[in-house]
Amino acid sequence: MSLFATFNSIAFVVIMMIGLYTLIARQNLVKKTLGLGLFQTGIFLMYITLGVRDGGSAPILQEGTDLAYSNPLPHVLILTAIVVSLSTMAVALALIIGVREEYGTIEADEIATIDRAEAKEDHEA
Amino acid sequence: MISPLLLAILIPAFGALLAWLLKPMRPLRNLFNLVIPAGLLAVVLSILPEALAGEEMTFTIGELGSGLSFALALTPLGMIYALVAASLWILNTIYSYGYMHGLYGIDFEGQERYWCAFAMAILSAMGIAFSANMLTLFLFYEVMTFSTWPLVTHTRKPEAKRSGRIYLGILVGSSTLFMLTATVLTWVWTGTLDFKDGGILNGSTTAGQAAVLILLFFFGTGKTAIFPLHQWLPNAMVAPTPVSALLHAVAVVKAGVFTVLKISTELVGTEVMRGSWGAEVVAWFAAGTILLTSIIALTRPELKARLAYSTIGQLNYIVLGAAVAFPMAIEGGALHIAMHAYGKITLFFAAGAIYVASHKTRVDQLDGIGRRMPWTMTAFMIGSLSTLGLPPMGGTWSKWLLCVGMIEAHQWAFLITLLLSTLLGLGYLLPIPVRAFFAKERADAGVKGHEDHGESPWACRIPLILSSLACLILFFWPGIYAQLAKMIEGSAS
Amino acid sequence: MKPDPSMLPVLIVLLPLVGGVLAPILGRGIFGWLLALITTGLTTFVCASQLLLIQAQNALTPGFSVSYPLGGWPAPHGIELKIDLLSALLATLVSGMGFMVTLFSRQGVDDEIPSDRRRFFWSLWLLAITGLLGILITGDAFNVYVLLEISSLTIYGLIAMGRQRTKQALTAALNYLVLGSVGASFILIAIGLLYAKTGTLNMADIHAKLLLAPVDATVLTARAFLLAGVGLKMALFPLHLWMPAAYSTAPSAVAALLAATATKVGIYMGMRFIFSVFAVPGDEMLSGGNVLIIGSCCGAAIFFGSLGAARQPSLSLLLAYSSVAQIGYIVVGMTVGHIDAMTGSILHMVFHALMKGGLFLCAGILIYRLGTTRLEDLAGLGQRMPWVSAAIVVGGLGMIGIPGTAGFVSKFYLLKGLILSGHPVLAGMVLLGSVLAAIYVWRFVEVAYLRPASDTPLRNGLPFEKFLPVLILLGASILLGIQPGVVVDLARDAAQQLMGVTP
Repeated sequence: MSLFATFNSIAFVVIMMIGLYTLIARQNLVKKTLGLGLFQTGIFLMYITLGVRDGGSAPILQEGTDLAYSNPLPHVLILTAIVVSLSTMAVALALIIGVREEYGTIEADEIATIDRAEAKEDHEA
Repeated sequence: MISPLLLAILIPAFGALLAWLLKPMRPLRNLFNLVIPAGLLAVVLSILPEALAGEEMTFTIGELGSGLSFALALTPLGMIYALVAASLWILNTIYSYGYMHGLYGIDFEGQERYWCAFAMAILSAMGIAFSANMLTLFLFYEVMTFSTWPLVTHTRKPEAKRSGRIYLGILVGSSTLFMLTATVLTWVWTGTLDFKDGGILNGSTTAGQAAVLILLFFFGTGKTAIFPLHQWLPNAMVAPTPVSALLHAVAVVKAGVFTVLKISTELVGTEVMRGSWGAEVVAWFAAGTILLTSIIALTRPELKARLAYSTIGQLNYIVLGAAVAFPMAIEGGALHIAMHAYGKITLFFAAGAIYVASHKTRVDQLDGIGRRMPWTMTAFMIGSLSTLGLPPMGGTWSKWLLCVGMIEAHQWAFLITLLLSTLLGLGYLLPIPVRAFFAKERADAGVKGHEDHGESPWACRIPLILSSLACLILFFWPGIYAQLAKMIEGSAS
Repeated sequence: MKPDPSMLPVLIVLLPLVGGVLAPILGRGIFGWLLALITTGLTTFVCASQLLLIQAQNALTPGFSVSYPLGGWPAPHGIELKIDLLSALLATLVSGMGFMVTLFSRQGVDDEIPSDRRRFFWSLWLLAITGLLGILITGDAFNVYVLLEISSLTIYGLIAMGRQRTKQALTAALNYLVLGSVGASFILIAIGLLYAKTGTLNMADIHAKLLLAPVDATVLTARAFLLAGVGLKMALFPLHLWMPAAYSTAPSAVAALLAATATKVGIYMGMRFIFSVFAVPGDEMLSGGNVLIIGSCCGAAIFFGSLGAARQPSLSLLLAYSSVAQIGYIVVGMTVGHIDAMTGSILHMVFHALMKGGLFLCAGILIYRLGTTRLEDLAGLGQRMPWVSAAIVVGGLGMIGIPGTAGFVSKFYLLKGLILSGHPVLAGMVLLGSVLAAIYVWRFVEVAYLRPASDTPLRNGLPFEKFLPVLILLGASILLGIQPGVVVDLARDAAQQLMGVTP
């Protein structure tokens, strides 16, 4: 494995972990969503790293030359995954706007408190 | 031509449907409530000759793949149970009118639920009686449990709800945890679940496996009320009395003992039963239950509770017979299904009639009541004697055969148990009619507002007179039932 | 012109996809519903024909499956649709349930979704079905991920549309989104690792390459990620936390569709990867410790799911927790790797979809007429709505698995398989689950039949087209409880094909 790939492998694991940590530990819904995005970005990097070949260039076929080139398939896959990630982010942010409208806050713990209080009220009624 | 076996299930199903649909048309519904049981009895009687001739008759309801099916078949044992259930359904329906109308008025609450559940209980009784394999039996066994729950909780009071929970808890718990396990194990070990004379275990299971199956099956059949699964029965007494009569004399408890007899003769096989320590354990539990409940019955002042504990004892006679599994014991057990049914239903009818007329529920209030209710208390007398197995009542024969079976098996301890419980029975049952006729009525015995009462309504009285007559007749002409029981003995030996 | 059956596979995804794209344009007023109804109806027809074709072929050559190269590019380089018995069976189930729930939900959607959003609702609805069906029939691993995200994203949106009724739908959807995306990302990682190992994305090809190479750390890591991701998607205990809130706050139609199909597709993914991709003889994915771990998860699912159901304040939540338990049944059957258990598992997927779908439709009727499913407001339901109440009881009996209902048949096969494969403890858990199910079902029964009628006002009548699907689904669950032969044979063949057992 080349130095580049090793570095990349460490990097994507670190990025994924930072994302996952943010996702779990933050109460702010937007930050959670950003964590999710970071986590997915880590995965993209993993795919890209998979496609790398030592000394490979961009995968453009040229008449007569026989250059080593990177595997293009992971790039294509990751294009799709980026679109998916983007849509996920969009849906999440849309939901958070809705949450903000209904609850007046985007902190997960405050939302839980409101829900609990309402359930209790409901129970007593 | 629809198979009569299927018809025996479809008719009550139709009855249940009509009870629901004809809710707004009460007179028409009431008419059908009588016509449908009569139709069922006619169908059952129509296949009686085939049963007596030992002819085969089968019908497959549904296939489950891998050789499994829901199927019906005609057997002598099934015929006994079907005949008892079908004949007593009519009486119980008439009685229900007397009781429910007498207490709750002609348009009592939840009547469509009542009649519908009643018909469903009879449907499942027919299904159990004619089941051709363990799977079918289990199907209808569970249908019966669930369909009788609305009857137990009919009053919808908190104590009815509590009893309903105990009822379902014990019956569903035991059947799901043990009976279903045993059924699956039987299937895994023998590859079939079809009932067969002589059993299906023979040769394909080890002695240990057979014992495990026996224990699982007998303690999975909570409806036999064998200790420690007996609590549901006294608790179910919160139900209206016709329901108690149905539950504790005809359908539910007899479904339990029928199941164990069926398992003993046609699934495990009497030969395996006789040689297994599992059956031994069951027999001791049954004997213990008999003595225990007889003693408890002595201490219960409420009439219905006393009858309930008496029922538990009587049921375990049959369980004992099934567990000992000698031909005479099996024959006696099978006959006891019928004999006990007529005796016990008479007692319950009488208890309900007393309640309708006088609102009395306790034994000590009944002194001298015989002069006010001569019909009812005479019937009670006959019923008591029959239940205890004393001549000249039908119950004599089954008890006699059970005792002979115990001698045949050299089970002296069990023989003594049977005799002892009869003695105890004399103590808790017979004083009631005797004191009713010969003791002086206590001044403070009357229930407020019902001090001056006469006999119960005719709709209550006629069924109990008929059922007590049946007890008498069955002594002199045990006829069909004895023949059918004899056939079972033939195949068991 | 004679129709060409070889085109059927692509129609399965094409029809709802086109419908979903057309819905925002054409779907104003009643047309959205009509479009969805026609689309799901046609799709069901296509799936059923495909199922019958495969079954007929399968009788001649066991193990037969249909392959359709998308765009004419042959596998393993092109993307392939690959339909075997299990795929076809579940595709029929998913599209059929989609049709039933669509039929059910016209008034419900009118009631719960604002009129300017309805056409988007139907668009999301059809796209969700597209995604679910696509997962079932694709033969390409990366495609599974993409289609999973298509179905998930649309489902998040559909759940969030429950905000008209309760604002908690938003948080439930967001929660599901976060957990679901993490789960899907795990699956994406697993697929990436598999690609790194084998250099291909075609599932059959991955399997072939895995057979040649020794199982190393890459494959083991892929397995672990896959299991975690699929576990989240199928809501296997303890990864079920997103589910109850999502099911109980989503619009009633969405809840029914999800309960009947979404988790089943998650389980299908698990089956497909475990038995068609990772199945290396001598080093099966499900052996030893893995069986122990997943088995305990299933046992815990059955136990805690049922207990949880018995403590819920509303019928929707009760049903959702019951699903947690029932998923335990399904997964336990596939875990032990016995043909009878697998048959039971597949049967339970089908039967549970029918019964739980029917039950959630009943809950939908309650929401439509009462505006709530809180148990307290359901007091005396037996008198107020005798038919709906009776239907819930019938479905509940199926959840318990009493004989005569479809739930019993699958449980019976499951038990046999568990005993024969030497897992008596798990068999005991399945039995215990039935008793616990009786407890939560009876909570409803006692409320509905033993309490005096509550005075919550009835807002609407009972439209026949709302009750018809309930009648069909629960009627089918009874019919299949008594005469399940055909489905049992199908499930057994599917199980044999999946596990590579020749009969």
